[in-house]
Amino acid sequence: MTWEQIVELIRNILISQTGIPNLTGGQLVMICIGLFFLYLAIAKEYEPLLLLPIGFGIFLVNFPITPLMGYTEHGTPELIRAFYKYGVEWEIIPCVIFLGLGAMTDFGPLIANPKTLIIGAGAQLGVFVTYIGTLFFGFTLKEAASVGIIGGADGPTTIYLTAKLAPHLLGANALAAYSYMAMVPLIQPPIMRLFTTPAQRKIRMRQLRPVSAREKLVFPLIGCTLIVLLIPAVAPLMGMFMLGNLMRESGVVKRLSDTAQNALMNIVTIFLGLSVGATMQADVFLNYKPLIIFAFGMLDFAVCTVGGILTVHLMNLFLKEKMNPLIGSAGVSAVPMSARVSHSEGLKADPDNWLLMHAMGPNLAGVIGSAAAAGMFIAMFQ
Amino acid sequence: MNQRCMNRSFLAAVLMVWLIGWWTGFGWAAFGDDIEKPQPKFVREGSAVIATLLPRAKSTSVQIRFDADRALPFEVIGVDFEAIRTSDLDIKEFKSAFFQVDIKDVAPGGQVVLNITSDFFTSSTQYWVYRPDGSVKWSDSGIAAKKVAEKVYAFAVPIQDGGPFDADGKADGSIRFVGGPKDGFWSYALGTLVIRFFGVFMVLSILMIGMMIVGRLFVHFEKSGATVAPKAAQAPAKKASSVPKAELGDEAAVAAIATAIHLSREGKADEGEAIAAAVAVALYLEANAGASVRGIDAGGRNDWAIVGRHLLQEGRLQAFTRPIHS
Repeated sequence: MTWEQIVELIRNILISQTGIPNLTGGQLVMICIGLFFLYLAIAKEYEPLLLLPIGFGIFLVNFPITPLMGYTEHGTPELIRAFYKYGVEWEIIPCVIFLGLGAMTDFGPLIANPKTLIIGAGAQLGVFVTYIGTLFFGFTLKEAASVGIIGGADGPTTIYLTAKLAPHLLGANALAAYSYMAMVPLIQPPIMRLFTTPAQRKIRMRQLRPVSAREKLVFPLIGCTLIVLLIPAVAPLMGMFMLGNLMRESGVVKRLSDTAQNALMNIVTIFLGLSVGATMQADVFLNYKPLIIFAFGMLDFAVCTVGGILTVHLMNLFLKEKMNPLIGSAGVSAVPMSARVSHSEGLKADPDNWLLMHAMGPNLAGVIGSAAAAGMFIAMFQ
Repeated sequence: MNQRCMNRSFLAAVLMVWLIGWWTGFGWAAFGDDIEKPQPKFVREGSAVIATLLPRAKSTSVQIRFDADRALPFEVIGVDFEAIRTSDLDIKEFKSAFFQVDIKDVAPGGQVVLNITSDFFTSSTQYWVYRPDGSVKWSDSGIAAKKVAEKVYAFAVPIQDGGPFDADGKADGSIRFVGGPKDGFWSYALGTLVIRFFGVFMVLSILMIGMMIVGRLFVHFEKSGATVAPKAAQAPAKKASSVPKAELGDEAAVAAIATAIHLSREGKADEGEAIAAAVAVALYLEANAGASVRGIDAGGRNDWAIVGRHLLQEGRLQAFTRPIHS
């Protein structure tokens, strides 16, 4: 072998078998974005459970010629593509997460005060406002619906709906949803103060009635029946949610409930985060749409917060026992962060006013409301 | 970084994203790709041709049936919107596709009626026609969709060879008819928005009513169950009420402390606090042998104890400590 041949061989190896000469500017930008989300997750602890695997997914798939999100020449999916295909594309992971959420959720506050369900509906206002707003910006109906649902502040619902309607926006939508959910304590308080008076923030609410274990046991069956009868499109999400809750409340399958809440939830979270992050490849992600999605996602959260608060104001016109409008903001879902925000804002106005349990009602109603809104959108395109 | 500084940076970031989004949005809207392009597939069924396609803003496919009268031979193909696009036309209003129908063996200058039928059409659907050499290239055919069966509407389009609907413009014995069904986009988008938003209200209202009814039933049954309970069952309650005052005070204090510690952990939890909360909860449970809130109520103790214990019971639930996924 001559010296020239050796040099040629090394050159060929460098060009065709290493990523260095194939690295593009776009990929570098995406790697930086991935690192930024890793920073948010690790240093700032913003939704680390999701943002860490998402950030690493972005980081990993943007290295050139990596066989992660493609298919082999025989058509079998590569590693992360397999996670994505069977987990997200087949809509399994969001439903499994709902199973875990159901197993973690105590519906006591909602059962004790069912009126708060209306707040959960009112807090979906932003979903529909954003839907129209994005249409003005040239989004298709399906894209607009998938962006709108970000305001529901419900990660699995956002991912479920986006994977169904606009899978090319999955990365941006999921990132916007989880980022803004992490920023709920920053986004909501100014809006809450703007739409309430100091006197309204001091309203004390009557202690919730105790809810018996039997009543909690019946709730998933009644809830599932009514919701699935009215919006069949949301059956996969609601069915899993209520199954998880039934497992929890029945008390006879503690092992299953524990698995759904912990081990299973953690496993699917890894696959979900990685898959969502891996959809953000430079050639797909670097365009105008993610920026618009981030802008509208913010608007969405704000309008949903306003919607919840205004719904409480509206309800107070008819109720004998007034509700504290601060709990309206918890209707955006984002369990339990937004309920905590309501609670802490209430404490600022009156240090003896504990709103946490009252805010949990609309908070849980928000989960059901955002799933209902997603179901409405799915039905619209059928 | 202090709170004010964080707030400022946050607001600046939001403003920047908004401005970029606003500015780029118009650009994207003008030059956006047609990512939902319907791609009809055609099959012949007797003398008819059936187009199967996935329309814009739909997740399920629909069929459109083409029939020419007198069983004249004809072909149908899909037309790319870009080939016949004009500036005044909004692609979103043409949800299905554009079709080119070529009808042969027509008597020169003669007329053929083309029937276009689908369950995707509504009474407000219009059929628009393309005329390449006309001063106005696109115009409404002016033919109303007629209901022919449940949910099925049809256009019966009379086309004259060389007439206004004949795209080749010549009375040459063959007709080329180019066009597509049009539905109002914004009226649909806004209409469905209102319906679906109130739909969410309706669904949750029905759930609320269901829960209220069930809740009342439960409260009623539990109350009546308590009144008919045998005296023997009430004995423990009496026994509980005879517990020395000091002991009740301890319980209330344990409950209140546990609750306060638990709730104070909603900021940054530290291990010491967590252990203190756990110890307080354990003390409380030991004192009450794991009694439920209802059991405590039955004891007829003071309001604060009930409130504190209830909060404690609820606070133990994992809803408050679980990682955020929704």
